[in-house]
Amino acid sequence: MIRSRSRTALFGTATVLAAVNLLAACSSSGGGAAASATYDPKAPVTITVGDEPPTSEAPQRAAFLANVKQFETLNPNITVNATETQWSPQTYQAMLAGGTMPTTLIVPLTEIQSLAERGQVLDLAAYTKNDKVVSAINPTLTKQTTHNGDLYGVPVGAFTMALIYDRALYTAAGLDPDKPPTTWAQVEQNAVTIHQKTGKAGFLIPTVNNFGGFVLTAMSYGNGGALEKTSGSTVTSTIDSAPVQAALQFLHDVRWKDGAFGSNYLLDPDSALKEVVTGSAGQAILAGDRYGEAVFNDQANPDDVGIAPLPQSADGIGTLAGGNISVVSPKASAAQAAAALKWIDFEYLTMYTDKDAAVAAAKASKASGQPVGAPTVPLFDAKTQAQYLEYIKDYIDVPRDHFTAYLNSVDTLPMVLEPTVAAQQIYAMLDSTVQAVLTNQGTDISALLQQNQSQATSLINAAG
Amino acid sequence: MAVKVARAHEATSEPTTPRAPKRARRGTGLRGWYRGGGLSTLLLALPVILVFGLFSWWPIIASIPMSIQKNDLVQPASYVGWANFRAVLSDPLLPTAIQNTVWFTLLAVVIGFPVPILLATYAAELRRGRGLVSALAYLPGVIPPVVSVLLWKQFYDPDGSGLFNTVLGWFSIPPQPFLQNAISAMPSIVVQATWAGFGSTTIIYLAALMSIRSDLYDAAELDGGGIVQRAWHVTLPQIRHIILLMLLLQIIGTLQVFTEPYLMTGGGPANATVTVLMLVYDYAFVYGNYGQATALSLLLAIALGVVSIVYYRVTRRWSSS
Repeated sequence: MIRSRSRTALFGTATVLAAVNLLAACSSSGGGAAASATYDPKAPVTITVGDEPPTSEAPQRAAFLANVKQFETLNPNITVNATETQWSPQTYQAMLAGGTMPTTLIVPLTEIQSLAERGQVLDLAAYTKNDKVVSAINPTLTKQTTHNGDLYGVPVGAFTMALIYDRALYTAAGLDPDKPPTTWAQVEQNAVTIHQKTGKAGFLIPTVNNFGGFVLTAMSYGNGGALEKTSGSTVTSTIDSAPVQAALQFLHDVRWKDGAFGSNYLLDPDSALKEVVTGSAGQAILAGDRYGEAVFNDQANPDDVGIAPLPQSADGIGTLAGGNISVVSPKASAAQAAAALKWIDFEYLTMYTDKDAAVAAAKASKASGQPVGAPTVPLFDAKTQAQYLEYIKDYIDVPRDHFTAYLNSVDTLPMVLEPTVAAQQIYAMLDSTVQAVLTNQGTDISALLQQNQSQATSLINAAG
Repeated sequence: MAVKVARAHEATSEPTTPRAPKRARRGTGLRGWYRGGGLSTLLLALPVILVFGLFSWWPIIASIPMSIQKNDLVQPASYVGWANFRAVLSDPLLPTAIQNTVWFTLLAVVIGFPVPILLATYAAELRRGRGLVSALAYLPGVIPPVVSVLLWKQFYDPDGSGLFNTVLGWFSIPPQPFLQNAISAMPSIVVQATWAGFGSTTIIYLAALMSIRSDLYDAAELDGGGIVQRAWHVTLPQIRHIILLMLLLQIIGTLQVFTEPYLMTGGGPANATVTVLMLVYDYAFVYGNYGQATALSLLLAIALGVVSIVYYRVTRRWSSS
């Protein structure tokens, strides 16, 4: 007899929906700031900021709270309440509707377009017009947080999709860990070698929770094409195209021809990372900023983590960029929004431009056992980044010479943005395409892509 | 005069019947209710009524207007007529989800339904250790559902390190894909769900079996019936109303399955385990479209209502004892 716990889940969901609806009806509108930024900069204002580090990260938390205090000293009219609230897809909308969303919160780059579309984040154009720091951020990143010409979020961290590989497995298979593959053919060759010499999986990718589609998108960029084409205001789906076909064929070959994909085709990105950095798999396509997670969460040997730029075919157009964006609640008043932006600048951006802030942040990371100097995509230009590295050079404990190719590619390999319309739904659809290719040898890739393209077209039309 | 009237009245009145001894009169109306202990009953039931009303009935009623709105809980809601229902019914994933859900229910009935009955019948025959068998049967149900699912996900690990593949390896059987294959994924999920849920049902059946009069068994034994015949001719007919009720509850419950496929496979591989409730979850929490989520929920609720009505009509003959 199956216990009907799913009924409880349904009631629980309905409960949340209805309770929130009730609260939304009862609560006051909270004074949305809209487009005008008229406010008194000297008047007292209180803001709530999220993403306070939890008590399990004591030094980070202490540093965060010290920053709060310092910020309040520098801005006597602003009171900052810190909360541990983080973005999560299940709770964000409920928080917003219920009025408990902090004034500012960090959300993933991949969500910002749909949040802006639904009016669930504040239009920051008026507040950032004269903000020198925000204006200095890499325009490729701010372009991703721009919707209909207005800025909806401030990038505070960025990454690109990369090839993560296990240097120890490379060595064991007789490959040179300082010469990671640059083309897809080389990746496949290395995968075969690793599998034959060590018995471990040679290559894998995450395939669930929309990450299958996300990684496939990155692989398509590396094979020369995107999933959508925009001309003017028209967006068309280009899923049924050679680059996507090539990416899927690559997965098919590694899985069925070479037998080097391993045996788990329902991997989430955390499990995929763990497989690679703990020596169960040789290579994976994942976000390039997960060094800290590999070493801190998965207990990987720092010397064994390899990060290389996303492999490119001869027609490759670049790599997929992602990151963390700081947004402001659409229910914030003008004064609150301005104060929130001051906080964002202070907490997340000055550490790259101000020596004391950089050193303080590095010290806090070290004290909590987190690595300092892990490879990321710089938020600002190369000069600022070089200066930042100079500020923290005494604290860097990451073998940055293992990531030379990746760090160089950050300036040279184009960062291509995500599909602009219905991205999450398209990723979900492509999840099952990737899983089909990996679990069913007879999958007709061309037919599947034709089907996907027509489905994507419906999704794009429905969103438009 | 009064006597005559009384007698006349007597002549035309109903023939007198012996009256039952009078109970203390409570009186009618509010006072009677109060004196009869109605207030304390109400107070005792009030928390349950409030909780049930607020957390079960109110959300259901509130979801009805939501299903005809474009609603993301942030922007003001606007009425869109039947658009949500049309969108939900034309979702290309819906037929797959319905098929998978029905398949899950069918497998659950075939694999999971007989297990508690058989186990309870066995336990009922035991002279000693019945309590131990009940406790052991119930043990999987004590584990929180999410923990249980994640545990079995580990058991089903496809390479040699998963528990089941390790055991198969002892008999030189190659590692099986379990959740990694579109055909074996759903049955694997059903086995886990059966394991998690059979305990409580076993105890219910056991209680029902204990209430069967033993003289029926004695009569059957006298007539020369063996164990199997006794089970078929005495046990099953005696508990058939419980069996039919549990079957309906199981069908309704399994048609709403969410936790197991969501955690085990995320709906994969290649949508082989996507269920209707997972679509509802995606509409609400991934795409922020509460209008479509409630529309699909309502359609599911109506479908379950129809299933229940049909079920009762079909089984009415069989369940009357």
